[in-house]
Amino acid sequence: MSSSPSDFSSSNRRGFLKILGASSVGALLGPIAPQASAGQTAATASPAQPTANPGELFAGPEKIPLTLVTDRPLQLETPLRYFRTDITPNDTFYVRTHLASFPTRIDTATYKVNVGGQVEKPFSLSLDELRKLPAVEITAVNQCSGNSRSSFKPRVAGVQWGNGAMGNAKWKGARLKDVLERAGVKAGAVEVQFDGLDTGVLKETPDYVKSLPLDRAMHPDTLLAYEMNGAPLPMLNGFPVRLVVPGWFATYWMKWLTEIKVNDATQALANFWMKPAYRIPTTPDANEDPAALSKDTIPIHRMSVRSLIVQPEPQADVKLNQAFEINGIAFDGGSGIKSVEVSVDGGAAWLPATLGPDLGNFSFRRFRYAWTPGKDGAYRLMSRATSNDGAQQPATTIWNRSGYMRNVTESTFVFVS
Amino acid sequence: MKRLLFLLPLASLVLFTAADDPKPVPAKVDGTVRSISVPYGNFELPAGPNVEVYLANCVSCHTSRYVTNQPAFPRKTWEAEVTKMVKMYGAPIDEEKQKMIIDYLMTVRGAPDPAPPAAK
Repeated sequence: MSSSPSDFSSSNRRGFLKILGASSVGALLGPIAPQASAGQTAATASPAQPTANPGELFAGPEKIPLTLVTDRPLQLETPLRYFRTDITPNDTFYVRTHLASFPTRIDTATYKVNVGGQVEKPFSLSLDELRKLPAVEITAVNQCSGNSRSSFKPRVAGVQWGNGAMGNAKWKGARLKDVLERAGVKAGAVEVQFDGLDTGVLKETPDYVKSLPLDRAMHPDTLLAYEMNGAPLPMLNGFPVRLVVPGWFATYWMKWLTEIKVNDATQALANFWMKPAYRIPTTPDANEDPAALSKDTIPIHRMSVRSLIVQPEPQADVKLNQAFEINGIAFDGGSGIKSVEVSVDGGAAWLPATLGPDLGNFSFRRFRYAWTPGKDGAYRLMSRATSNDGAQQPATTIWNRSGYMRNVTESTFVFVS
Repeated sequence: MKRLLFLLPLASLVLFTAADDPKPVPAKVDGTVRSISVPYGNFELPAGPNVEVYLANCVSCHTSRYVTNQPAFPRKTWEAEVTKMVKMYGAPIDEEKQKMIIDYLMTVRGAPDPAPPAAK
């Protein structure tokens, strides 16, 4: 197999893409019946996925070649085929860095995590001390707030991610709660702020510091992780310690964590990274009108339910009258996946998929559907996940100014012959 | 022999995987010190008026891929981005140079202003 995720060569596919490029030929696509059902979305008008990242690869340290989005600060995206396993290997896990100066050398003997602010007993924790605290391991999805931003229409400025700014890993570490309780959180505390070793090139650039509400910080699933999939974290993913906030977007998962500070209401963090960055409209599903932006915004937090077909890949050739197992991944903000349905006709009919092993409510959940296409032509495959808290992926896409929270039912166009 | 035949598919699978996915460059571990080296990425610097102003004021903090990876945007969007770099990220760029940079951005990734929203 080629190492390029977007390398396709068959003439079938080229012809197919040409068809997809034209907007008024829906009726020519036999198995994709034109319809006025809820399965029709804005994507129907121009079904070819935007290719922000045409497939240039970059071999970062401790990483196999991943899709290069930007080289400084470094953003690397995980190609779709690495989601064929439920756990995303460390060397394929995506990389998001906010500031160009991030650590490339760590001395584990002298590394300290400082705990202070509104606490009775501020203290510093060495890595050895951190490892002596009761250890917890949680399988959880880490997803960038802007994952899939390049699919927004109208397009929005920002890192132009495809669907690969996410990964699922087993995170092992100490509970933040245990560390905060050792320090003794004072009455009046409302939030906890986190800082890592990365900095801007200019001293004027706001340092990347984020805060979590106290209840989320004290949640037993919030970890100071020192292992990822049974190994030290890759440096680009936050070695030696990163915050893990299962169910919440990755903006809070502070890498290279060195400072934990408890704040009271008067000290609540109000830097660039809390406001205006990383905020969503208060409207339902964080949806807003490009021509009339929502006045009220709140910090982005819990992930909404999503699913993505992993196989077949977009523009794949699928053999006529042969069984093909459609499979993919689904996840949400922590209630867990209740069911996934698959459509092979662009959303007209939805068919129940089989769910794979349950690795916990914060994990990717595999879904599978045995498909034997009986007619050749272009097909629009879709998946739709429902979470245990009753949320279901919407048929129509949301839009917001920052390109966050995309969770529309995605489509994969393939060609059967 | 039977045993070897049993192992063969496994071995070929391992070989296939190894050829398919190149091995990453590991971190260097020297006693308690762990370090990595991040290679430089290639980037494109499209030609255009004021490219030298853009180069001198923008690329020290971020790669030009921050621009070349963007779709075409109307002037208002690029103005907002440059303003963000100055006001939020602290880039010391005076107003005249900001305008020159916006002109450059419009040359390489500019789009016409969107049509006014239709009356509802």
